[in-house]
Amino acid sequence: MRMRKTALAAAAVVSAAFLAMGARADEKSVVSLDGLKLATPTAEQKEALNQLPEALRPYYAGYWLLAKIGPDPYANWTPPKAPWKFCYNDSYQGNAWRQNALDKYKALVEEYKKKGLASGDLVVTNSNNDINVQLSQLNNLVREGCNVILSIPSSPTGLCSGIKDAHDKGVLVVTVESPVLCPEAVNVGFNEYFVAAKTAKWVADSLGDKGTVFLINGIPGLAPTAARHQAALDVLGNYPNIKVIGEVEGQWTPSVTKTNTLKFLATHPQQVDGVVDSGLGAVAAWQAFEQSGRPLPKINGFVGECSYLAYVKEKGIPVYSTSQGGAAAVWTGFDVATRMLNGEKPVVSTLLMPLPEITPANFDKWYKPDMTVQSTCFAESPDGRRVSPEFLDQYFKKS
Amino acid sequence: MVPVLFVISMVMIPGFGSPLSVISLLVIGSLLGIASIGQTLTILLGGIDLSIPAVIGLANVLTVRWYGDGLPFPLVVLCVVAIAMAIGAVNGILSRVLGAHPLLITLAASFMILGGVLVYTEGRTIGTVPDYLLQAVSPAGRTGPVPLPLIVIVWFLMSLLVVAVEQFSVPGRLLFATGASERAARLALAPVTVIWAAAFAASSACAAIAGILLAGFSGGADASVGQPYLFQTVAAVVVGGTALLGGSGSYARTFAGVLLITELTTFLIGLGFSDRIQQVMLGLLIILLVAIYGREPHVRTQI
Repeated sequence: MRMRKTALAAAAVVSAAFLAMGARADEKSVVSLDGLKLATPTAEQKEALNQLPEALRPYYAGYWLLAKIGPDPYANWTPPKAPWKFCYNDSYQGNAWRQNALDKYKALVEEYKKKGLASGDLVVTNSNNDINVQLSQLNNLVREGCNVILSIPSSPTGLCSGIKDAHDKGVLVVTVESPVLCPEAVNVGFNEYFVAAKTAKWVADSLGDKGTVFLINGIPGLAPTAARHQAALDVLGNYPNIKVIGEVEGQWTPSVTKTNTLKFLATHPQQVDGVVDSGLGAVAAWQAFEQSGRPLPKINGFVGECSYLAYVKEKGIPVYSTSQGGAAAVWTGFDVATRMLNGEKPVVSTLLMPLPEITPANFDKWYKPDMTVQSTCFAESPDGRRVSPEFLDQYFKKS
Repeated sequence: MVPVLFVISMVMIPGFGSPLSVISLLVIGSLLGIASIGQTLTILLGGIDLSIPAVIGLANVLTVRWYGDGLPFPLVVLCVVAIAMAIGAVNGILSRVLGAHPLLITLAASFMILGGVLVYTEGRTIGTVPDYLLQAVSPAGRTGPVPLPLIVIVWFLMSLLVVAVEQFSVPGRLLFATGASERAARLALAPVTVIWAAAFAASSACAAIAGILLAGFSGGADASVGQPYLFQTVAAVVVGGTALLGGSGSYARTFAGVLLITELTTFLIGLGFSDRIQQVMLGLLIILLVAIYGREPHVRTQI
């Protein structure tokens, strides 16, 4: 479609210059964020992106750092008739995020049960981050007759044989929040790269393209860590007057972030204007600045933890955070699964979405008075959703 | 080596020697230092305590939770330390009664402790800590008229106490005697099991204190907050020059080891090295020092 438009435009006026411009504009729609240049896809990656409606492509920027895009693996699948049996193949339940997700999923299934659409209570397994255990639990769920399995896999490849088996038996497996590389899986999550780019952009913009920043990174060796890191560097590369003076390993753990930030500050006496945090490190970093007697820099939130909201409220400092709440995450996965049960077909196998943003304009809707700097909870979006149903429509084929 | 590296760092990195920077390092060193006290004692016995990270996590979560539930803070500390000491004593006694290496016993214990914490809290680590605990571990904090945060003073006092007990008391000598040769110690009618129980109880108590202080440091509860302290405590002991075989060494050496490790990692961060390079350098340092210390014959063969 776009190619033809470009060719027409080129034919109408003098050709070469316009062709070049057209090509640039096309590339921009794929790899840019509000005019910023981001990672450029290879020819193969571009082809994968072309499977998507144009409006969705920006949300897939840098997708190859964390996921694969393929055709809908359930294209020829005939969904079973209601009532359905819903199951949950979880990999860990030891934190507030996972608890919120589980509670939400249970509540959604309860609602469906009342409407006669679910055949019983939610069946839950938990592998405690052991991928082999998770695989055998997945196989068991398939044997027990689950129609839909939402899964949070603890490895991008470890469940592939089980997912293929489920797919072949007509069971719908939807991964939530951690896309797998198996061709038979439907993946629903947020684009780590895109979201990290937005947070870095906020830090850079709020400094007015001037000053020094450092990055706080996640757990080394994981795909989300690499994607978030790359996004921050790509975005900051667009700001010639912002200098990156270093990186701190925060490991998404406040105590580690604080230790390493204190060490960093002890060896970097120069002024620090901003910090790009890749998750759960903002408050710990601010405390390190405070306790080193330094002025507070601008720091973004990523996950939308309650302590971030409480801290910015207490100090009256600028706020920008994305929200990765567990309940909203599982609800999106549930929405996709139930749409597919009702015969809707996703445009691709991996549905990557943006995250809701917490800004000064909507802060009061997110903030609750019982949030404190020591809270370990996560803010959940005011309407409980990650994206609106209309936005989600774009990820499905128009029938 | 500690002062040498300090001078090099001061020359190479501006701001390294400023008072607040030094205090920051001391706070970070204190957390490691307190956790390493126990590791030193168990290694002097020829053992090792792998349950330190789990006990740190346990103390961290329980402190935040119980104080958040409204219990008075001193009572919380007392209970947490008592529970930790009980765990440690069981570790020590089981190691001797079963004749199993404490590596296995404390590893098993740490699984049970961390699992138990998650069961007890159901993964919901809510609660709070008192403001003075936050102040005690803040580099900007003060202790009365002294411009040092409480944690640093606590660490210094605990260090003096431990070194004094090691060098000048009967239990201290029994510790070294048992570590040098358990058989000889038994023949000399030393209460070996009691000594093991006491050393492991002390180890867990120190880990618990570190866990409580970490609650103030990070301001929230996290069962996995102790994870970095498994290898770091062993590294501090080894870098200090206490033999892993037991019987030779002292906490005074570990104290230097803690300062050296904290200084080295800070120095490397200051030069812009990533965490991975820091680990490589720390590994090289350990091998280098072991090569030096390793040339000394074991204390058993020196008598």
